[in-house]
Amino acid sequence: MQAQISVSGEINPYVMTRTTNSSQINLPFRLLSLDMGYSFEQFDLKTNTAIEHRIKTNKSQYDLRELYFAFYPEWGEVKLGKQIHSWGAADAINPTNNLNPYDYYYMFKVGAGTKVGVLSLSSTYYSDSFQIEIIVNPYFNKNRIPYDEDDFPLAPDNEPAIRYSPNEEVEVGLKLQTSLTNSDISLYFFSGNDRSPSLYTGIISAESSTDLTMDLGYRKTTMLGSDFVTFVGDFTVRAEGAIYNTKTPSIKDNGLENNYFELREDVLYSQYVLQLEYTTQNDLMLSGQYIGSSIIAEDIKWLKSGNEISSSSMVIPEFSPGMGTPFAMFSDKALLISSSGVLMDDQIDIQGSVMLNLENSGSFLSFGVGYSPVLNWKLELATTQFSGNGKLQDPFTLMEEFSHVRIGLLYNF
Amino acid sequence: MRLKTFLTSFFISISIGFAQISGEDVIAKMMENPSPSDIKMNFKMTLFSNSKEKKNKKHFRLMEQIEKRYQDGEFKSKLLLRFIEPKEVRGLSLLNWSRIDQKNDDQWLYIPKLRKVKRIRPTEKSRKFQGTEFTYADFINRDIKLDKYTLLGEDVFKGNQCFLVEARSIKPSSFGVRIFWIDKTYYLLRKIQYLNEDQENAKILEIFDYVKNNQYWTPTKKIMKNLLNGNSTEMKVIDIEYDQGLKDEFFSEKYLRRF
Repeated sequence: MQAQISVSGEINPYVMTRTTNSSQINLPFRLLSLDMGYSFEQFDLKTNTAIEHRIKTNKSQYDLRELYFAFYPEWGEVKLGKQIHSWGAADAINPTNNLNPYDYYYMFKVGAGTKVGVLSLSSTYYSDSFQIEIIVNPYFNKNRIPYDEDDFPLAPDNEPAIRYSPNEEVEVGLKLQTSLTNSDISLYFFSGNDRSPSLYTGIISAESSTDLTMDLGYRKTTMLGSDFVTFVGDFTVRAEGAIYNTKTPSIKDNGLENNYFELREDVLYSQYVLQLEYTTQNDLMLSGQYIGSSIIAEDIKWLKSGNEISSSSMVIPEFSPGMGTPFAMFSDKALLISSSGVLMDDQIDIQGSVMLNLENSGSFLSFGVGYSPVLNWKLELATTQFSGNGKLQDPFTLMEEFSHVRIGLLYNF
Repeated sequence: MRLKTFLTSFFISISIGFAQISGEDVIAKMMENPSPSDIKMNFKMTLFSNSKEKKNKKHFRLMEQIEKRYQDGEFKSKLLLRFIEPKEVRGLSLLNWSRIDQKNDDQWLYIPKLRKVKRIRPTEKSRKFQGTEFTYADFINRDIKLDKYTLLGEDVFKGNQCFLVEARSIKPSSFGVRIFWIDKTYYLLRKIQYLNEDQENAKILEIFDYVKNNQYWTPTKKIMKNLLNGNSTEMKVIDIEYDQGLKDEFFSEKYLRRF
């Protein structure tokens, strides 16, 4: 086999204009994505880099998203370096896919684009009837959350100071996949740290007993998951679910004075997706996803010097998951209907999706058209509309001002 | 209906004159042509539209194909198709495992943007292949035992004297009825006429050029014409290699991902 060098990528400038007042949404976007690879016999070296640009400030930032070395022995593959993993059988929303943190700036994109690359060692063993994958992340990695972004309504005002780093940074993931007649089934295990921070301690000021400082950290979370793909008549069924057990570790902080309270959380929660898809004779792909999340058991309490204090003294905060799909923050039960297709010899592609909040009124509508008059060039027009129930804390209501029209140009090379 | 009557009388009249050789015999002779154990090929598919607005517009796809054929065991063949152009879908790949029993083909699709290998429902073989006039069936070898063959007569195609053989699926299938033009000199397939359920001429595949590479005949240029909408697709082989000893592992999820 000869050595091969590959270079490919895309340039994708676009603008997003609010539908409410026609003002521009000023968020960074990946102007350039570049994939480069070098392959020789059983070895690959792969990189994925991006230039992230913000129109308003006209500033660009280089992002080395992936850089890894891959070795392909006869029995499987071994990869080492900064990489993006992809677990889960469902499309776009994958409760089992927690090996990499999410990049919330791109949460409405699909696939690897929504993730942050992490340094890891992964190995997959393939046999005729099953495959086993093991992944080790030596360092803790957190979600990229847009703080203090006026144009992203869900963005927290300030980046909180994280007082507590994870006690144990090493994370381990394990996947076992096997094929049955006309179906695939996978089991997943992941032991790591939350990707988003949560409350660890409250410190009462010495000057005023009502002045409480909240300190955050990343809980330890273990996930067990499974997915299943099968075919029923003309339909494809994809099911994916995960159960998470998250625990706040006990605080060992000698710097703390005696006037602190410790929030101890031990929560079992789940996230799941049931997807049904159908492709018409004209290659129009229709897909429906039922997305849900629920708390199975929770034990949340405040401790003072190791003793539980009554909930009347300190309010028990509502549990917030630090791992799992970001879409869980929109609704505990939602229906997502998507379709995509092509027209005119693939010159036009159309995509549409609707997400309905099944618990409260609220919806998200997205529709996009791409037109490619010349090979590898495409004009893109898309709109995203949110509609909430009017309550201020409702994520769909908060996102209403993010409703926008997007116009862009895509060049693939 | 007129066509049906014509074809029936045509079949009867010519079958009398060719009693000594049967359709099965012609197909068997065609199958005697040496067949490689594996193929590695790059090809270009150009789509020609019939509409006035797009008369002069052509769209093309560049693809890489590797195929391994088995003589025994549970598999008949394994095939991997990978997009090279358009660049937007570069790396999109389809893996097909075709089994002897024809019932449970397995198919996986690798989508580079998602970094995912998706198990997909075995495509209805009559469905169009990626917007072209070819179907998935055109890329997967059909077991000759699944059809009944009748010799219809002779015809000339591009200067080649050909046998006309009708292939009719024994069990109900999307393949329907096809008429083969098989040349009398080398027993190579030169043309296929596809009849739809209403016995109308639906499509015609014309194979213009064959090149002999070692002992194997390679069709280097084919055109599939859709007679119902006037569109056509030309498939040109850019390069081809045979019997490279492609390993089984090339037809696996591992290799599907390795792009």
